[in-house]
Amino acid sequence: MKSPLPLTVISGYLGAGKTTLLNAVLARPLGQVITVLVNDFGEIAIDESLIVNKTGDTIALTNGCVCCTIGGDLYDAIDRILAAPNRPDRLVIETSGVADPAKIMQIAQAEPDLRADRTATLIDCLNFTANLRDPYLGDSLLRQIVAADILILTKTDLVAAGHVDDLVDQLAATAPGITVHTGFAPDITGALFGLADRTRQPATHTHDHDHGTQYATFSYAGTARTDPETLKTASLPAASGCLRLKGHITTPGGQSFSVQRAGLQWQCHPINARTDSQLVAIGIADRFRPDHFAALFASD
Amino acid sequence: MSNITLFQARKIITMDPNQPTATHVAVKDGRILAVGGADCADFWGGGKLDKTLADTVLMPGFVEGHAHLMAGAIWRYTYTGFYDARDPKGKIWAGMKTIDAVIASLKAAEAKLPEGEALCAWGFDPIFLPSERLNRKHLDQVSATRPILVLHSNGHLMTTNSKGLELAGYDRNTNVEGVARFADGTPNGELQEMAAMFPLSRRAKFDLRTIARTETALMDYGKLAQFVGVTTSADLVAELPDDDLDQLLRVTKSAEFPIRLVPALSGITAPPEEIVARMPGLKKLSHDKLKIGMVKLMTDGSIQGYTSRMKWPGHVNGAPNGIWNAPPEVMAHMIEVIHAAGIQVHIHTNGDEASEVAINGFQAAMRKYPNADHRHTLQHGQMINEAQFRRIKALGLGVNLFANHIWYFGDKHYEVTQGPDRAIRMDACRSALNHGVPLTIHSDAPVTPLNPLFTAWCAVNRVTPQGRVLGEYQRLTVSEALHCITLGGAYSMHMDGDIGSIETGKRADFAVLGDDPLAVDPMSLKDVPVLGTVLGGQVQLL
Repeated sequence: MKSPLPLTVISGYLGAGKTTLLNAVLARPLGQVITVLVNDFGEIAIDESLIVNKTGDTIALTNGCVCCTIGGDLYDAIDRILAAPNRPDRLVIETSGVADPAKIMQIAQAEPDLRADRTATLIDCLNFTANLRDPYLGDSLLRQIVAADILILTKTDLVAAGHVDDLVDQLAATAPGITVHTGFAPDITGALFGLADRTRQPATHTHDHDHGTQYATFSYAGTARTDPETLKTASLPAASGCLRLKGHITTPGGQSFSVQRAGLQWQCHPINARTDSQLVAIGIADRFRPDHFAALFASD
Repeated sequence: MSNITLFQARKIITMDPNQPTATHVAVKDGRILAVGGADCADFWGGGKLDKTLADTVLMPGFVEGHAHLMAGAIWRYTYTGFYDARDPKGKIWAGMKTIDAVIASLKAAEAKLPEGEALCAWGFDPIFLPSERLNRKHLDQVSATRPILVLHSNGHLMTTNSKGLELAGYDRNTNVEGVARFADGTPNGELQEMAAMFPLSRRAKFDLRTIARTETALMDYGKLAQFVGVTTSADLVAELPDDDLDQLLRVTKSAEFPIRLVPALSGITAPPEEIVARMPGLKKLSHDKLKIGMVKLMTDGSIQGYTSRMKWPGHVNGAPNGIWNAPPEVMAHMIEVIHAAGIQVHIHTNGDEASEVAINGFQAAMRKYPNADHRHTLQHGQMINEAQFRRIKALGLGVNLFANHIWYFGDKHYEVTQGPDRAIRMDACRSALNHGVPLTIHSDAPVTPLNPLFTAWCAVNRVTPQGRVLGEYQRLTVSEALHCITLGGAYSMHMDGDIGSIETGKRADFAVLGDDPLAVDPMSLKDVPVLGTVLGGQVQLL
């Protein structure tokens, strides 16, 4: 069986630089074959010398990468790619300016032939604040931030430095623990194409701004046991300052559960029995109580 | 003389205000030569009397302004709906009133399937089955070795058996949104929304995207339309790929194709400049039974799927607002480019915020490019409010409201999505007429069944399965509803000069009925028998 195709979703409102980012990524030596699904070729401006073939809905590049338009149906487009005899090494989907990237990533979470890798949301520093106030748009843009694994700020050179800092603080409050990049640094490909699990890993943050101390984390991997109700209560945001939590636990009775918290939302369901527990939790530094969690996993 | 046929009927409801009823209609060369009494053809030298329809009631052929060819193609899969339904071959499938009946149908279909094929079914609606919810254990009774997929009629849910779950790779360790579970954590077989359905659908080859592109699908859709008295139907979104055009022309030109088809070119699969550039070439392909020239745009999703865009205060159960198909400013640009080219736009808007964005787009486009009689139409327009109707009137827009929703989803909107006060003004047909807005009503088949008399019944009675009258002040009279499914639909496609009423000069397209819809109890309007149609003077009885 082929290994699952990793999916990266690139989201962001109009003018945030999604196409510029894709052009930059595709122009670099990648060492892997990427298929990119875009809404249309309107702004794709790939160096002609890199193009080997161009048809109505496909552009093939000399480095083996391919750009396809989504056409009428995203599912159809994905199905075609998965069914083709030669699968690429990676799939990248450029969303429309108002899509909810979480909905698109759900496809990869459900489909065994895909692996949810990263969602990157681009933010245009010049227009973001105004767009966020637009009653038709604000909620869609917020969803793009909440769904993101990494945020990339663009057009930073067009605004005052203080504005960028304010924006970073605002974004950090909206999506705690998120990695914020400024512009398309040379290592941006590495950030887009993560190799780790999709869970936000606070320890690997590479903030461009020095506010890493605002968050605190607790992580555990071992054979200690606890039960879901205890963890649910202990991780309540009001009690523990926990904002997000993900992992699996095994109870003293030997049952295992998959657990997740996002704010007040708690999800838990039984999984096949294991012998261990693994957990990552994160909260805002001055309110987070890692001791609440440590106490639960101390008995081992 | 012999080329004039004089049809005699029990009654002819003409929809012509100058002569609302008649008994005879003379037809020549596929068009209506004269309408009136037994002597109406005498001025033209008389005609050959045809008494085939003498015991029937004739109406202008019904016009469905919003349906999809898929309604015909989907019959290749097993029907599991609550109501009796007629397939394209004319066979009537009895509605399944219990889960046991659904299981029995699936067993019968399973026995006929070749080895190795998944059993795919559609039309299932748990709303009407108040018993236990369908789950994998029920479907395991049908087969333990073959995947079974039962798509619910709302299109957002699917129930599968254990073999289907296995095929999709779903088990109790799966952590995927939309995979519903029993209390013990194992998946119960219900898959919610496309993302969760996708792994199973693609492995089981439950294809709902390309099946409508075949010759059979076209013909099957025509047959279904004919069975319910439709002589002209929109196909309200068609990609019309170049590869399919020969087939489309061949089928629609064939003598057997029983309707006039009006596809709306999808405006969202390519930039609007390309759409506009393609249209003149496509328009030239039009003939008597095919009219190309409209474009379809999409703003938001569906109300019952929580993907429609709602204005404040949003969904009454607190679900977050829906999802735009394109940013409002992009939508405005599409509207402007297509409007500026003089092409008619049909725009899908379900939530009131979506309607507002569409109205804003048309207003901006019309300031730049004034164009009277554009007939741009808001499709569905389910939550349009009074203030929006005033703007719609001022801009000369029309609406095609989704009357069938009141029966199929009305209770859900009352209880979960909109709350009582907004649910009673959904699909506000009376408001549209009060404001002088051109109105037609539709089925969106296969989302709800294709049947204009049923759609008219919904608009007249506004009742729900739970016995509510959902918006007594929005009810239409039978006459008004019949106008909606004839001239109203014709107007929405720029065809009212040619079809939609029985008057001299128009095409001889009739719905042949077994009873008089104006004389029956309005609650029985949906039960008026359809005996067939006449298309261009050719009698096509069932």
